Amino acid sequence: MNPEKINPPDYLLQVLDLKTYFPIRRGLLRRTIGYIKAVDGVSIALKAGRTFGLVGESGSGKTTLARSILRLVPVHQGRIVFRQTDVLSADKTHLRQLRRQIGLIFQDPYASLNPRQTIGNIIGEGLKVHRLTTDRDLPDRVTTWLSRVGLLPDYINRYPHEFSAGQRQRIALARTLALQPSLIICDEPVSSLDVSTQAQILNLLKDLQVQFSLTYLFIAHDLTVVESFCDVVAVMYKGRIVECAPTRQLFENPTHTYTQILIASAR
Amino acid sequence: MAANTINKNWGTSAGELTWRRFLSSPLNAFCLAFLAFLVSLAVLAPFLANDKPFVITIAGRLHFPLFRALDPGDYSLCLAAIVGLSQVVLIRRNIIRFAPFIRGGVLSRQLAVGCVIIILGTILIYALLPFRLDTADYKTMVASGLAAGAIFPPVPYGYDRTDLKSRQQPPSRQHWFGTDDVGADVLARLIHATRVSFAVGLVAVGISTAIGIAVGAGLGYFAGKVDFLGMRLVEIVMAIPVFFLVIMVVAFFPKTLLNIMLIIGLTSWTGTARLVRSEFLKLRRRDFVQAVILIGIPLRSILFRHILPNAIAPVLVNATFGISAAIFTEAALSFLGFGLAPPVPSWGQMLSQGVTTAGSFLWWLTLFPGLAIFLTVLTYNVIGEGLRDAFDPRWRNTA
Amino acid sequence: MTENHILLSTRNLTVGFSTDRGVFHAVDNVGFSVRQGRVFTIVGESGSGKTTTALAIMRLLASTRGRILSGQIFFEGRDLLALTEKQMCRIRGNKIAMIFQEPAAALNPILTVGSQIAEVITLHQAGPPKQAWLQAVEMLRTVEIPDPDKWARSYPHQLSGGMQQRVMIAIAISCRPSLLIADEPTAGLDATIGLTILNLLDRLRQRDDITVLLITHDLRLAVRRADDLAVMYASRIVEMGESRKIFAQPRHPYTQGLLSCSQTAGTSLRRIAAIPGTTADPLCYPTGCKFHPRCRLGSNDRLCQTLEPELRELEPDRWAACWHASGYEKHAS
Repeated sequence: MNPEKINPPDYLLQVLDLKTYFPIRRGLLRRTIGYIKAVDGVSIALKAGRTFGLVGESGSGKTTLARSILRLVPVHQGRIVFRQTDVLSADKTHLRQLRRQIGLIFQDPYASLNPRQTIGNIIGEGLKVHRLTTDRDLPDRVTTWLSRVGLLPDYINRYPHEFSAGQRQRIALARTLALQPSLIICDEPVSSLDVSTQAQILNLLKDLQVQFSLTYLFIAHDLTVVESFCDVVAVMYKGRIVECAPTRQLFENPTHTYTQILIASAR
Repeated sequence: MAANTINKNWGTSAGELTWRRFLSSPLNAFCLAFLAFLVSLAVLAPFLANDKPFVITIAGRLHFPLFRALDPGDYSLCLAAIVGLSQVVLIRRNIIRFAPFIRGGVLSRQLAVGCVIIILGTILIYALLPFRLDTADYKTMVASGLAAGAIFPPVPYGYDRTDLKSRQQPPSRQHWFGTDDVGADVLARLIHATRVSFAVGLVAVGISTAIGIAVGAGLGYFAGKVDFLGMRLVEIVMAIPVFFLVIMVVAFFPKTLLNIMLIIGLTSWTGTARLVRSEFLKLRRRDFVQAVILIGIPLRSILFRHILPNAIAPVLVNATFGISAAIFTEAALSFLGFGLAPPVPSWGQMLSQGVTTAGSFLWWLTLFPGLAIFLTVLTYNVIGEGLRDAFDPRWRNTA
Repeated sequence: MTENHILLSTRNLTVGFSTDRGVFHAVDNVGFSVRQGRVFTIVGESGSGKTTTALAIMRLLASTRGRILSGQIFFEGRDLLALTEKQMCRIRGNKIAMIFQEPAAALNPILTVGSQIAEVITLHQAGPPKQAWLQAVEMLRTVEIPDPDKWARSYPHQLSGGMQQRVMIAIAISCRPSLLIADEPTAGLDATIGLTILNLLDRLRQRDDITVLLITHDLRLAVRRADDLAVMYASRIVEMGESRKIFAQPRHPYTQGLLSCSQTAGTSLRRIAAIPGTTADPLCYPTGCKFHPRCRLGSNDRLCQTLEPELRELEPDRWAACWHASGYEKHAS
């Protein structure tokens, strides 16, 4: 995919030649002697309403890419454009708005919820901070989002430690959805779940996509999951995209050796 | 046993679970009760040991000498105790009445109101209460028949009374724990000294914990160069020996309770700072903190409403041990003569009177203050250990 | 049907856990037999009790809050639960070995990889330390770690997840155990690495004639590797038998659900066939069959709601615990 040929208005998110390097510091004065090139020149483009899959093994840089898009880690070089807004040069206010429009689901359901907050507070906090609802309507809004992810409204008064991994991912989804984003980056959301729970969460994600016209950037290490879920798949290896194609095409005619290895291990 | 007995749909917070685990051990519950007993001794000291009677009839009219002679400090302490007790009762009631989702706001409002009442009340008391000095000797009045119907407190001696006729008497029916160097009743001084140890413990540790949290949070969250330089400063402060600093300060400044509390507080925050820093370093990279940053919550909220409650466990345990250490430090300083001077009563100071310059050993001046220090420090240590066990993640449910 | 003798068997095994919120059975009346030379797989969701069963066999429950309440575990003819701790120590690592879910957590971070392997060898076999070290390096070579001399001197944090798992396998097989318990050996590893680990286990199994007890939540693994299968749900075994036969014709609705879920997961169907609902909460199990609230057959059936079906042998070596399983009513227990 050549970034220069892309017509900007068609794409929701564009990443252009992104480089995220982590400096290696040694010595008493912590001098930089080299870099870990977590993301080394990655370009992808997401169309609105579709699911873009990103596959690679641990260390390939896919999680770093997700966090770079949201500026949770400092970016070395490159451009990220979300709806014609340059993400990397946005100021604090604009960044806050951008982060509302791009959601992130984390991999570990046991680490992504604050154990001290009630579920209602976890979901409602975003609504309060962005003033999306009045104080009186807050409980109603929260329970609505709970039921939309398949949880009982009573759960508003419970704490994260009382829920299973699958339910926690649903809560994390509700938290993100409450801000009504247009793009959700799913960073291996089902990798820590049992196969049977994975199926439920993936079905839920599909339903929500239709219901709320969401775009997904779906990150995974397992091709089986990606096959049924994504429209376009990019394969990442050591910080670079080695292959990127519509799903069917990738699975039927993988061109890169690494892709072929991945497909073989999934079968 | 259901998780929550009030309402099946209400979850139990981590705090509630910790509290229950803490109380499940009878030893912890007993120590907490003993602590409550000590607190009541401290608050009610002037009502328990005073040489002025509650009520006395002189020439046919009722007088209330004890109440008239109370310090503003005594009154505000009583006010704080009443407010504190009502807060505890209200917390229990609110936990039952309000669902967890809205409970947080209710509880913080309630606590804020309580604090405001204490502060305003204290200001009012100090402003409005006139200074009275009453040197009448009510006991002689009763003995000589000038007054009648006097009701004295259980220990009818003040902590600052000097009676050189009955110096250094062993325990007797008149003085249950004996008398000290200047003839003051040991039991009365013992009870009043409870206030000093609580003051030292709570204020000193309060100061050191507050500074420790502020510094630790800043260093831990921002890391990088800030952390590198900051930790070097912390290490410089850590190298200062508290004991010798106190001795130095005492040489130049008046030996007041406040000065001692300040010094202990201002030099012992480093341990807490290190603990808080390591917790913040660990937690700031956790997913839930990243998630909350993405939601757009302001920095102070992130630090104090999200990270700090998860980092507080070791701080609380440390603070409890800090209180016992502070009490012990004050006792040691007073014993050596660098702490509080008479007539302010302090257990350490009473201890120092146990061996006289003539070389005789007054066992009642060693045993009772020593026992008081021992039991108090032991209680705090047991509570600290109990807290540490209650916070232990091994106790969490593993399915 | 092979004539392999039974290496390990459990009978009426029940493990109880005490938590803040009450006492529950993590493993309830579980009985199965593992035959020599075959791969026996226990499949179940998290919370089904499969890991607890493995820990019970190894008598490693002391680190958890669980206690074996009843039952017997026979290994090579002896009841493991009747042994003293000292006797059990001679079996652990030596005759029965275990590899755990998270290799990073199972390796000691302050010892080199080679010394951790050598430690097990020294413990169970006589011989000088130098000999143990050489054997350790040899083990690393067996688990296909390149340049084993160099890696033996490194520390666990310097290795990738896949290599850490290989080291754990090396520790486990260093004394040539007859039984290897593998608890979710591929959890936390990428699919490619997981595949290589499973292939390695296959090769080692055939080379040294090790019997493997594999524990997993992923039915697809069992499909590929298992000879015999037991499906656990909510502390009980609900179906058991030869895996080929179970996959051809699963008798329990839970097994059927798991199977259709894994079969539709990789396709381009709009929805995956998921089992509705969540795993039963151990502190308030439903009455009757523990699976019935999620079961398409049992959610409206009075019998399923009130009476819990026990595990019955429907045919030789074919067990199921479901009122609706074909062949169930015919045999009274």
